Amino acid sequence: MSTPLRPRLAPWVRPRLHHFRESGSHASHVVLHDARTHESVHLETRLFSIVALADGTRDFDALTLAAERDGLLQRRSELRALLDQLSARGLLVDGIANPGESPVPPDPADQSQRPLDVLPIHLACDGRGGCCRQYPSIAFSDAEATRARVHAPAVLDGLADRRRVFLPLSGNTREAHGVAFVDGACAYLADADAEGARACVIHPVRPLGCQLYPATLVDDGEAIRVSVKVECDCVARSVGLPPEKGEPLVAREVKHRGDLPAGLDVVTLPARITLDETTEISRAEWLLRRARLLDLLVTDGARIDDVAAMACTFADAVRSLGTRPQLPKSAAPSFASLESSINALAARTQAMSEAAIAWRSPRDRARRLRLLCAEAAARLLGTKKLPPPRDHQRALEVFHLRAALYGHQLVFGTLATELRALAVRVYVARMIDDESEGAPLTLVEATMRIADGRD
Amino acid sequence: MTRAVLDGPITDDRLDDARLALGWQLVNVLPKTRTSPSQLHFLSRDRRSLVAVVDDPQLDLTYLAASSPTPELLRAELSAIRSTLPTLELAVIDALLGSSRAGPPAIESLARGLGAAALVADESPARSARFVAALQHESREIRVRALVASAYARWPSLRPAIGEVARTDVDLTVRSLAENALTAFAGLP
Repeated sequence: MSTPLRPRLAPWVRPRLHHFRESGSHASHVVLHDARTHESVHLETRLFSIVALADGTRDFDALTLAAERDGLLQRRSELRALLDQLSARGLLVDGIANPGESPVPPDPADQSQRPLDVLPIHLACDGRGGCCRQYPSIAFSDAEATRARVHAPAVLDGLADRRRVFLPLSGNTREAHGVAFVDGACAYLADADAEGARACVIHPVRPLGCQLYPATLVDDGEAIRVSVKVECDCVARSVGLPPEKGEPLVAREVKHRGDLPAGLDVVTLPARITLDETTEISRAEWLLRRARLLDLLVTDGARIDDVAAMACTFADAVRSLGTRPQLPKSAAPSFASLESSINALAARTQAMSEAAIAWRSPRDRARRLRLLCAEAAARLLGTKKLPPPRDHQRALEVFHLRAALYGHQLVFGTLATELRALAVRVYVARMIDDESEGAPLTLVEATMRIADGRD
Repeated sequence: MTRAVLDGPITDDRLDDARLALGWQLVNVLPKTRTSPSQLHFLSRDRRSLVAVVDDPQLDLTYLAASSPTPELLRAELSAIRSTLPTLELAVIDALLGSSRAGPPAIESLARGLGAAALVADESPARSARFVAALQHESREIRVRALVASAYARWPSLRPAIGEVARTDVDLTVRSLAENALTAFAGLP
């Protein structure tokens, strides 16, 4: 692959600035995550600053001039080699961005009256910032980034220079930004106090994504279904919590899509739902089946002994799922039937874990989560037995399946496959004994969403 | 404008290291076109002198052309350049011009001397004689290089010899090149 004439970071590249606090010193570098391959390239910040100048309008000569103007240029051969390396990895494209690459979808104005249908859970945040320390990306709009820099100017001296705190969310877009990380934590997350609580120093002006986290919003043509990602320990702690002990997923006064803040990412459900390799149904048909399933989970949910086994049963009977007046009789799957999926998960978490150990700080929560998942998956492979649920985790597991169905989270791929994948993640979570980082299921879900590129 | 010819092939890295050592700032990059060689333009550390590094394929040489607001600054800049990058001194250039034996190495040296002399040396009877000898050289390659260098040097004493080549050279292409070289002398006394 030849290096583009006027290079630009490809839209599938997610540059993230990482700071590391070591004894008395401070180091930083930029990680370029390839969202397609999940591979990454590490650059010193000076070199990334040059790459950021490659915005599709500059050829090599112009790029050297721009780099020199900013005091970044050393040897031109270094820059040429860098561009060649990035190009060889498919991380560069040629010319300026076309409008279709915009990461921010247009806001459909004609659905403002569509009602919100909110999963009834009341969240109580534990204030420990787990969610601010486990993802590779935390997105800010341009306005949100500006507000954050003004609100907390001293954080990484970000008011003086935006690039110390924000890099483009993907490619070299100017519309959305990814915040820098300090030892894997959002730069705006304060250090832990004596009780382990960590304050968000920009809490009043934090981005919409953070305000709504862990809510998911899917427009299915009838309603905006608001559910949760079971990726945060606060969700685990909030299952069954009475309303007065927590907050609803969206503010009570938000009744319609038009009441939601502008710029919010509401995903649209596909018109056809794929049940298995050969069967599709219409969205309307899926809505009927989903409603029945959810009713059955409420009425019969207490009788579900093993959600992972039930998810596999659902997958086996996916074509008739939601068409009968009762839940199918759950049958425990064999280890062999899931072994290849467990193998794949183990390989991915092992690779993620090794990559994290190579460059993430030992204080980095994401590194610890990946390690926990990789070890659990390896143990599961070693035992060759699917573990039963633990009593204290059963309610969360049932809630997980319900939240996934409620928020259409399993029908953006093939439903049967997604159900089995969910079951595998539940089995892996059951192998984690160490709950110091939070409920194991939330750790596995968060880690695997990153592994699957769903983040 | 004062020039200095770089001695030997200078890699980009060598040039960049010199740029960093001298505190130059790269201010323009002119790619090679049909009519002009590629050039890198630098501002000196004090921002008062401009230095162009010209990679000239016609002469097969890389040279620096410096301009400063005062002769003192220019001398200082050239002195700094000479202490950082290898340049061809006048004595070396004259020695290269002295080589006139046939055969590839001598031809290469002579061609190099012609180009370098055209860029940095003043006209003198001895140098003119070397150019005239080169214009009448049995090697077509040397005659062509001498024509190109003469057009750069624009020493009035060379004009008759170039005119002779334009009229009598055994190679019609060389004659045509000589006609072109004469146009460089237009307007000179």
